[in-house]
Parts: sequence; structure tokens; C-alpha cells
Amino acid sequence: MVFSTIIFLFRFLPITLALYYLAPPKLKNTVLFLCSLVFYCWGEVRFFPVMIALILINYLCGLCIEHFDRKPALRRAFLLAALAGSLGMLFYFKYANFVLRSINALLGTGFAQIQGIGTLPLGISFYTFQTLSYSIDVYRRDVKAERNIIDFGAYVVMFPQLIAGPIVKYRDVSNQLHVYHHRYNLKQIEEGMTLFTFGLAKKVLLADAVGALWTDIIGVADSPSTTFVGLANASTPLVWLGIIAYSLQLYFDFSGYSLMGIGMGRMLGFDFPQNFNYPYISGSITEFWRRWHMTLSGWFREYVYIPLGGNRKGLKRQILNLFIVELLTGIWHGANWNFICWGLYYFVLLAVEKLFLLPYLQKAKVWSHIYTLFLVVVGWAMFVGNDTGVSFGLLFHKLFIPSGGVSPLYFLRNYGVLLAVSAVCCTPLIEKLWNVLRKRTVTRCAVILALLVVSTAYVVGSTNSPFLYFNF
Amino acid sequence: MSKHEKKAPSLLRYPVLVVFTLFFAGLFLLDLATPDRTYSELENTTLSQRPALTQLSAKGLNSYFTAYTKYVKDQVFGRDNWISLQSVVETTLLQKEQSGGILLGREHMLFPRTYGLLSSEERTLPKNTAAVSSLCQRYPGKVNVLLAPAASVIYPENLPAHAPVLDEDTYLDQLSAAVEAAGGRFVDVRSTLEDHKGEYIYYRTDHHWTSLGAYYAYSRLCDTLGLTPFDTTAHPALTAEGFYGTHYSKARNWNAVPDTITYYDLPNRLTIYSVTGAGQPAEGEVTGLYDTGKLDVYDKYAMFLHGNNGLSRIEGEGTGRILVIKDSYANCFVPYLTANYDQIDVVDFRNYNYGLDPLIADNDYDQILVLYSFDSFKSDPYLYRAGVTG
Repeated sequence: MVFSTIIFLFRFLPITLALYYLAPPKLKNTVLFLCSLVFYCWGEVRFFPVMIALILINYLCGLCIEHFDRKPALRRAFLLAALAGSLGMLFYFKYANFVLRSINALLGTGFAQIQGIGTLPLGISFYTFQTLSYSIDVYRRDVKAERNIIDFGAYVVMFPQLIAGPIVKYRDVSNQLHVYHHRYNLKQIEEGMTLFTFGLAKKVLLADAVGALWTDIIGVADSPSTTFVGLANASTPLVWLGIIAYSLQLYFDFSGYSLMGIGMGRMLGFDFPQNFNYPYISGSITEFWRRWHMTLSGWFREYVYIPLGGNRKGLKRQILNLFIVELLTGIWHGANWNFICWGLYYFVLLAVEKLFLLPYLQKAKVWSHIYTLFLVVVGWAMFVGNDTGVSFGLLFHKLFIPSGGVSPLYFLRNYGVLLAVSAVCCTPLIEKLWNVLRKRTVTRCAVILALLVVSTAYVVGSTNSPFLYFNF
Repeated sequence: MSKHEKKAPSLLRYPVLVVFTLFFAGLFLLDLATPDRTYSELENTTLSQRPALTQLSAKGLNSYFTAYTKYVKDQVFGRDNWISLQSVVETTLLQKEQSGGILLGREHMLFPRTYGLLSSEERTLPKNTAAVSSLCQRYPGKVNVLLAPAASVIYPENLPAHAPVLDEDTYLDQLSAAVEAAGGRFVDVRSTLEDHKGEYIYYRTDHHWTSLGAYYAYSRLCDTLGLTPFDTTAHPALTAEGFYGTHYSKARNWNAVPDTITYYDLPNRLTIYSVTGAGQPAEGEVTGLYDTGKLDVYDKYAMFLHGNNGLSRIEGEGTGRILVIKDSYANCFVPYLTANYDQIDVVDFRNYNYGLDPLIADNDYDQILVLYSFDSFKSDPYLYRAGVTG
């Protein structure tokens, strides 16, 4: 189920919240667990056993790691079993076919593709990282193993963060999971609702709307009846405009989803970590990665970079560690070569900044921001380079070798206001504006209500597809 | 979110919570309380009804979930109003020149967002061209091809500035050459329509040309074939106001200006055949040229010729026989032919699943007219049947 749909907003969410608030304290986690399972299964029931297996493996391994506290070999064995369970599933569903294809292409072999895993289980990249963090933390004795399987299940499959993060570590929420009475208060619920509204607006009013500029150029993958300009016909300025629109879409989409997740978490009484902190105002790539998808970077720092030695084992080792982390970051984003390129691209940029560039960037006021935005946008071009309707080579050819074609004038005019609003929403200015508006009850309520009403109009409006042949 | 009544005073300290809760709970309850609709006139589609869970297997659950998602989407409370609200926000607050995939042009004209050929059209256009060429070759000297250009070809200045719409001219020139080379006549109506562009020849809110636009195209055909055109002054012209067409149902723009449909009151008989095989069918239903009942519903254009039937025959006052192979642009065009022919047979391939040769052999037509809009000529998946021999 996707958050920005009628089924979620006007069926799942009201029913789940009502059940959760009405449930007796001891049953709240059960309600959360069962409702989240429905949410998880709504799109594809076949993956139900995957989730159950993942919960069971990590639950049992956690208990065993703790039980054999004095036997390092057994502890390690159960940790490895848990890691194999989580990573194995992630690999099987997300990467196996890519690896087979790549081997076939490199060695000329003829391994057949695995059938039936064309679609990924919902949110698998996110919840496997959560179960990994749980098992590692139990092994490190940072948290106690969870004894109640319902509570553990509720943590793994919790619907607010299931599909697009933030990646919540077990220890972030374990205390709250065991608070049964007074888990939430009205103030917290209200804050959650406000965050949710902003997240929804970001997703449907900004991300989807500005993303239309990009699909005007490359088409909509699953809608063959939508006409588009075609990348080959677009002029260089139009392609730049399109890739900027795509960069805005990606940010609003992802951060909007995260914000909805954080908001719903708070409505349920949980404090999820922040995931985005105005990444596009960064003055360096190093800063960008501290502001973009913060829970993923944090996860890699804690479970990969620091265990490998971080910056404590000399510069050469630090650069190697950086390489490993950025490579994994690229791979995490998708099973394809363009994501690996994208990860390595950031490795190069981060290494260059680490080696000498960062002090200069920190002194600069203007060009450091232009530098960062330019490189980030080029990065997104790499990121999108494998989508339907885009060819990696053609996209970069169009971006960097000036060529004629359909001019950007019409698109600038049509999307101008939206692009300007989007740009403002990428900066803390929007937060300042909200801080003014929220002071008075009337304006605060009016903003929330207006955003909810208009967002609903967009959610419903996006499904308007009249049958073309009226007379047929 | 049930808070007990005694807590009510403290709830007022959280007004956003109250607003949010009322919004979602309210819409949820309204959704449950309002009766389901079966049909949406504006979207011209039947709406999904509440599904039933038939089997408790993975497959059964999956299809139930999919059907239920669609049901909730179709039956959401105030669906039409939400869609209109989105259009208002898009066109006023965001100042967009596009709504629902429709370009909002000057003079209140709406244009389809045709930026280029779709990949399916890259295949159907050559296929349809070949089919029509084959028809021209099989009946040398008899086939006339008339393609209605889109309104954007005649009124490019009314498009939003610099909108990258498909250049139909190039394709029409290529088609003209292909038809002439195959021994047919290409009736080019572009300059005729341009000469009359000051008049009301295209609907603002619909993709069709008006009866007047069709009349000028018809006059051009008369010039080509040496016929005396239908005398518009000799027949009473009737009008129907308040026509909102297909473009409007997508754009849903608040400032759309409704169109007027004009038709000439003619007594001619129209027979709609029940087509069961190739060649001339025997059974048919006899009626008049217009289905005036359609003037009371949303899709008023469907009144012409009772919509798109597979094979119909009109008895005219002229001499000779003509076969019209067409899309819906011909529906307001064909009545004029009653002045010139004794028998006008009309085939719409979307409902006529056979080749033409047996029908032509049975009726020995004097002329064949292929009348499509370029828009459907490039995409029609049935026109290939014109090329099927035997």
C-alpha cells in the first residue's frame, strides 16, 4: 500500500489509528503488528512468509545470542545465521538476477533468471537493514534481546517506516515498545499529524507535480498512452531543466514519505530519527551526505565504516573504508551498474574533499553551493540513467554536448510557479514561514486544513482518466 | 480517535488534532454513508463496485485487494469535485497551461497534449497507411482519402506559446503522396479550413470538428468530385447548447466555455445493420439520422448517426452509391452526402470485424471515401482491415 492513495488515507489509516487508540494498553503492539501485516500484504500476499521467516530468524537468533552469552563461538554462529537470514533474503530478491545477468554478460554463460521475483517484497531494503541492526546490537550487548515475539514483529513490520524509511534501529524504539500505558499524549499526536500533513503535501503537491516535467520528456514507464517529448528530441537546456525537476522530485518524494512515516510514528507514540535536513542547501558533498537520507548514512557509519576502523587507522585505510561504504551505498539503491557508478562517483568526490578540497569549500560562501548542487544534480542523472525512456549515454551526451531540439520555454512557463515554490521548499525559509504561521491558532489550523484538502484533491485528481473514445 | 467527553476541554488545546481527526474521520464516514455510483458520465466509464472475497488463497486475496483498492478510488466521496479542485489549483495558483493532460489554449480552446508519436503509433501509422494504399490499388480511381487535421494545425496561434505539439503537416504530406502514388485521391482540407478559421469550425472543449467545419471539408470533397454541395439554406438548422466534450472531461478547467452542436433537420432513413459476416447483411434496424435523446446526456456528439455502428445505410436524394470508411469525425459529415448520393453506406471498423471486398462486390459503389482524423488514423488498431483482401 502506498501512503498517497485513497485506500491508505481514507481506509487503512483511520481504521488502524482507531483500533490502536481503542485497544487496551497490553494489546496495542498486537494491533500494530496485525495492521502492519495487512499493510505489508496488501500489494502482494505471496511475500507474507518472507516477512514471517525474517522475524522468526532474527527473533530466535537474538534469543540464542543472549542465551549463550559465555560461549563466543556459539554467539558468533547465531549472529552469522541472523546476518545470513537478512542479507540472504535481500540478496535473493534484489540482487540475484542482476548478478546472474552480469555473470552471463561477462563470462558468456547461460544461467537462467530466477522466475517470480520481478517485483521486490515491499520495503525489503529497509526492514532487512533494521533486523541487521537488531542482531548486531544484541551481539554487541548494546540492547537486550526481545523476548516478546509480537513486540519484535511490531518493530520489524511497523507500517509507518516499512516502505521508505527512516531506517529505525531497534534500540531507538525498544523502550517505547515496552511502554504500554501512556505511550503517547495528545501533544505528541498533534505534532505527528502536523508532520504527516507536511509529508503528504511534499509528496503529492510537490514531488508528483514537479516530476511531471521530467516524465513530459522521458514518458511514463507504465503508461504507454501518455505522449512525451522524447529524450532524443529535447534540447540541452530542456534536458537540464528536466534533470533539475527530477532532482526536486526525488528529494520531495523521499523526504515526504519519510516525514509521513515520522509523523505516523509520533501519532503512535514513537520517536523516529530525522531522515532529511535540507540537503540541497549543503556547501559540500561531505555536508550533503550528512543531510541526505541520514538514517542510511548513519547505519553504514555505525555498522560498516567504524567497525572497519573509520578514520582511526590512517588516511589510506580511511579512503579504503570510504570506498567500501560508498560502493555499498550505491548497491543498496538498486541492482544495476548505474547505481554502482553513482556510489563510486560519490566516493571520488568525498575522497577529493577529504584530501584537500574541504577547507576551501568551507571558506567559500557562494561557489561552494553551486559546486555542490551541480555535482548532486549530475549524480541524479547517473541515478536515473537506467530508467525506462532514458539511455545513460544519450542523457549525458545531451547534458554536456550542446544540442538543439524542443526548447524549454513552454515548460518553464508551465512549471515556472511550481519550480519556484519547490526551490523555496528546499530551504529553511519554508520552516521560518511555518514558525510565523503556527503562532496563531487560526492560521495554524487553516494551513493544515488547506494542505489536507488540496492534497486530497491531487490524490483523487491523479486518478482521473476518462475513457478517450467517447463514442466507442 | 475516541477521546472521552470529559476530556473535551483539553482537546480544544490541540486544534490541529481536532481538524486532522475531523477531516479523516469525516471523509471516512461520508465515504461509507454515500451510495455507490455505477457510472461516471464525466469520465465516461463504469465505476467499480464493492468486490467480494471469493477464495482464501494468495491469488484470491491479491485480486480482492486490487479490486478493493480500485473500488475505494472510484467511489471516493465527492470524486468529481476533488478533480475539479485540483484543476482550479493547477490553473490559478500554479498558473499552469495544462490540466489533466490537456493544453489550455487561447480563445478557450482546449488541445490534446500530443507531443509525439507513441511507440504503438510508430507501428500503426505505417500499417494504416499501407492498408489504405492497398485499398486505393484494389479500387483504382474510386478511393478518396480525407483526413481531418487536429485543431492545433489550423489554430497554432491559440496553443500555449512554444508548446511542442506534434507537427501533423509533415505526416499529412507524406500520406498525401502515398495515396496519390497508389492511385487514390487525397482530399487535402487544410487550406479550406484555414480559409474559414474565423468561423466556428472546431469545438473548444471536444476533439471533433463542428458541423460547420465538416461542411467546409465536405465542400472540398465536392470540388474534387465535381458535385453540387448540400444547400444549407434549404434545411432548418437546429442547435443544442451546453456541450462539454472529451477534452473538458480530462481538463476539468473551471473557465471552460461550453460548445454548441448544430445539425440539419433531415428526414432521411438510416438503417443500422446487424453485422454477422462479410458482405451485405440483410437484417437491420431502421431509424433517423440523429439520436436526439443523446442531447440530454453528457456525450452529446453521440447523437450523430447514433454513434459508431459497424455498418449503416443512409438513403439520400442524389444518385449513385458511396461507401464511407470512417471514425467519429464523419458522423456530422455524412448527413451532407444525402444531397449527392442515393445510397450512403458507412463502415466503422471498430465495430465491423471483416474485410471490405465482399461488401464492395455486393454493392458496386461508385465512390469510396476514407474519412478519419489524423489523430485516430495514426493510432487506430482496426483500420488495417481496409487492407485485408477477400
